[in-house]
Amino acid sequence: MSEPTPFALSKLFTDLIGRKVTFTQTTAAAETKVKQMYGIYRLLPGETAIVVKSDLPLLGSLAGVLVGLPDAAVKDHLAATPVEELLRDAIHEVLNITSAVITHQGRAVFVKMVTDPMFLDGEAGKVFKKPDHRSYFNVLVDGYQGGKFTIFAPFAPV
Amino acid sequence: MDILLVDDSKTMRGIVQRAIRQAGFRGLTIGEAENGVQALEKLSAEQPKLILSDWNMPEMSGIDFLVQVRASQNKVPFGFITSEASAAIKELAMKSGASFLLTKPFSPEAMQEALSPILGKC
Repeated sequence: MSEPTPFALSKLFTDLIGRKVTFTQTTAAAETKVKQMYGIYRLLPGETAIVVKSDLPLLGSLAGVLVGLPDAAVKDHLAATPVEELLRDAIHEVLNITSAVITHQGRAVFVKMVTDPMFLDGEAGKVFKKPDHRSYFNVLVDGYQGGKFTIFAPFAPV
Repeated sequence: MDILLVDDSKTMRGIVQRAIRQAGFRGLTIGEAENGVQALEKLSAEQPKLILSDWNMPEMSGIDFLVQVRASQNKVPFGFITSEASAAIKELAMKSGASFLLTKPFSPEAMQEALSPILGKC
């Protein structure tokens, strides 16, 4: 499997929200206390999975721009538990659209998002716990909070 | 109703409506449905000039929805707006009777190019 490139990811999200989004590939970073969101994708053909782990503020920023929320309002929405429906639905759509660039081999279909890794079941759980490859990115969103974005894949890049 | 917009994401329905306006199509009546089942119910009551549908939806997928529309002899123009971008998906959509497939994210220009042949120049 080819690895998703920072360029492809940056272009997808910049085109999506109409603001500059910059993905920079990094090495693994220490875990933080920032809230996370996990996207689960079925990889077709076959029955494997891809998992995306993202800082919630980053997804909130991308989603917030989509629905016209300023940065301060995004932070307020994210502070609510659970996250308010307007932003939650937009985050869901951001993760759905991510499926277009998450793999260059086969077809990724977004299944669901979860807030805790304990809900990563089946193939997603296996890939998350023991991926053949991880792609780490730092992401900047012009005028909004950025964050970390990691892809857990069942194949190493070729 | 000019357009029936079918997508399980309220956010995406809003984005598509905004893109339609930005593409220059103003004053259109746009009905909404969250999935194919709801959309079929709306179609039984009213015939739009165009259907815009997502591909992956709960209850009934976009392609199953299109197949059912065509099975009922309804020839309404049908376009997909989806994150599904593979050649196989596009081919399946066209073979099943879709007029176009717009890949998310899309620009107002792409929307205009897709809708103009069906709704006329704006």
